[in-house]
Amino acid sequence: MLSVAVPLGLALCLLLALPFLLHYHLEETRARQHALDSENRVLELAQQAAVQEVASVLSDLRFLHEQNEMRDLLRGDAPGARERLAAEYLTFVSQKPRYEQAAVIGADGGEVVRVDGNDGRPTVAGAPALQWKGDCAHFQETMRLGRGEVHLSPLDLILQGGAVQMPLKPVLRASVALFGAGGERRGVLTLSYHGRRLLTRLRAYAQGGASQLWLLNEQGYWLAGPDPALEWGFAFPERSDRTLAAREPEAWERIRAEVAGTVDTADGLLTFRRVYPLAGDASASDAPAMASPHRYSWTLATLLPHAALSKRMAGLAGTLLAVYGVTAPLLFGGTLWLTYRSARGRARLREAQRRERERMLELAHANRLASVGEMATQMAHQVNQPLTAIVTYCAAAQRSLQSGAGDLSRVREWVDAIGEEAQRVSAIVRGLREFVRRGKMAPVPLDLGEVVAGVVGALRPDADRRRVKLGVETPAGLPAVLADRVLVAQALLNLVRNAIEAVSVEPSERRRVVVSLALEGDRVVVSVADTGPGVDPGLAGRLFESFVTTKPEGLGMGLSITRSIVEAHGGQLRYDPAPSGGAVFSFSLRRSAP
Amino acid sequence: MSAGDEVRVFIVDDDASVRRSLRALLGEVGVPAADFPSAEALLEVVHEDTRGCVLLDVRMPGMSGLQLQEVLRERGLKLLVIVLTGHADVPMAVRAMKAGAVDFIEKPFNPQLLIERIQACLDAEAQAHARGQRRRDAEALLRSLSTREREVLELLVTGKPSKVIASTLGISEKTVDVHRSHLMRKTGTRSVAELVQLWVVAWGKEPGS
Repeated sequence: MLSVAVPLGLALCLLLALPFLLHYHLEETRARQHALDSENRVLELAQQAAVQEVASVLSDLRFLHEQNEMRDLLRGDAPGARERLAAEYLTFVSQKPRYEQAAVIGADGGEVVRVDGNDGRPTVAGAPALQWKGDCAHFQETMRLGRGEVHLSPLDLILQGGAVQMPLKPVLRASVALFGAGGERRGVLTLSYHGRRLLTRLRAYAQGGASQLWLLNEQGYWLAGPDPALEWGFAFPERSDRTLAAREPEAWERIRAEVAGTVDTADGLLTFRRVYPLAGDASASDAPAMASPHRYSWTLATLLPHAALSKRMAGLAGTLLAVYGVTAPLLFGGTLWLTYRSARGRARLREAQRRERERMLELAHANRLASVGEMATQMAHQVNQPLTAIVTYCAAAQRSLQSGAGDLSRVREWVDAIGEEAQRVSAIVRGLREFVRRGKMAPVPLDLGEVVAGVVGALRPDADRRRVKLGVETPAGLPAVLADRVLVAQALLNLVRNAIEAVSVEPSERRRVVVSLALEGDRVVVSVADTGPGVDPGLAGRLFESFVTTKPEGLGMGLSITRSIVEAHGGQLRYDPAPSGGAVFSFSLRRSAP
Repeated sequence: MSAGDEVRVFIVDDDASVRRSLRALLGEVGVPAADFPSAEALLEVVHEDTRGCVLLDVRMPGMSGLQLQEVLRERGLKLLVIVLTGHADVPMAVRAMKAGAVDFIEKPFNPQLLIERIQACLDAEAQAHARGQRRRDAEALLRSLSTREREVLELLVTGKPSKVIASTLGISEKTVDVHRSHLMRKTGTRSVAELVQLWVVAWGKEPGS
């Protein structure tokens, strides 16, 4: 039983795991999507912030460019224009601490005016402090621009004396070229914006979340990154390989190819979005000559560590495992229990069938005992013949021996004959004992012709008394059947006796019973046909039930027992009305293997 | 001597052992016997003159013992029948005796008793045979008389005097006396009483009845 139940239970538990796994998978997909949405929201806010910040810088730059003091300076004929401009810039930088510096550089590269933020205490650079910027990239490039065009430098670190100024000071320079009244280039106006402010603002969007916010430049260097040591790689010769391109080449490939997207990296889920800072310049449309805003880009990215995602899923997995842990043993136990129950049910059925067979054998035995009286007459006759022979031989032998002149060889012959006759008696007595014995069903290869002859012989005295012609039709060469000798004889006895009783009500010339055997396929069919009145059609359906009888003194057990015996042999008892009136009862038995 | 003249016991039984054992016993006793497995086999052999006694088992396949008895009687055979039966109930005995059996013995029997019964039966047969012989002889004597002699005889045995016989037959008293002396000489009788006895033997009935 366990050999079936355990694999079955395990299989069911595995099946039960499927919905759990499916649910987990769906949840994981949903959680990932949720995380992506969240990361994209952060990126979008950061993008807007970056664009706005740059836009406001450009706005300020244009404002300064259009100032009267600047016009005065460019006209070049107003005395004190430089001082007035410096004062103006001092006020401006004081009001707007986001700027590190506001400077005007002459066409020759030398600074004309410069105001330094100086960490909240803005100062105007005196003449000795003015520097030459002719070799600076932002000056050279801006000098090449047309009227109204803006130059935005990369977000870079401030250098001091050829080295990076410590602590690090990221700066973004926005510049515009200055033109004289005659259209000649007169220099460059530059606003230096505190990059730290932008970076801090951007990072604020990712705060409270599980992910880091990165800002990368076009070369893949971190401006804001996972670790300060990885940032500004381009500014330090020894850090030149600290790029995302070097660290995650595949991710970088995607970032270069796509404007926005998500890529799985070893460290986590990387969500990225390209930002064009110049796209937010309000006056860009007014300045068609301005360089394409898409020429200048940063990349904003967030990295959501795997751990954050799996931590979110861990709770669900725990819950699912707990539920599965409770339901699977229940299912397993239930399977064992049900298997046990059904095995018990089958055992009970087998037990009931066994009891039914025992009851049949019991009834059959009682039925045989009841038949013994009827058998006695036949028995007496059967035993009488050999007994008669025995006593007669004995008398002959005695006389022969007494006369003294006896032929001993004849006497010996008679004694032998006496022994044989005694064996005959013994066999008959054994047959009777077997008939009344109580025992188990013991199917053996059986010659049905012999059984029929025995039964017909036993019932012939009764048939003679009732003037019933009792016939037998058994073809030669029938195969043996596999059956219990006594039980089959009993079944046949019941049928033939019923038939004899049935025809007894007919006129004597019509009283006929025929027992016949026939081979049909692999079965031998036994049929008992009579010329009696047949069975009332109303009764035919219940004929083989117990206690159904047509005889005033009948118990109604005969056919029921016969049916039980036949069914115990794997056959079926049939009733058919005979074509010429009367009844035919038949059953078949399987032939024994040759 | 033909087979019909020998007095024998005819054993009819379907059981070969019973037949053989009876043959053995009767052989030991010195009674000639023949055995047959069925009634039909017996009927093929016997005829009117067959003498003896039949030991008959009533219960046999084919023709039963009772049926055989009927056939024997119909054919006018004089065989005596002893019925042997395994189930000696009263109705069976009654039927056997009604059918003409002289005796009825239950199997298994006491062999001594059986032999006695057979002897008795054979004695009865012998007596019956002798009786028959005497009747046939007397009948032959009486049939040898002339018509007139027989007419005289019939009146003589009824006790009529010569005068009455003469007037009855329309002949003289003297003629009656001549006829009487002739027929008495022919039949070898010496008195009317002897004539009456001969008449009874021959016809089996009292004169005038």
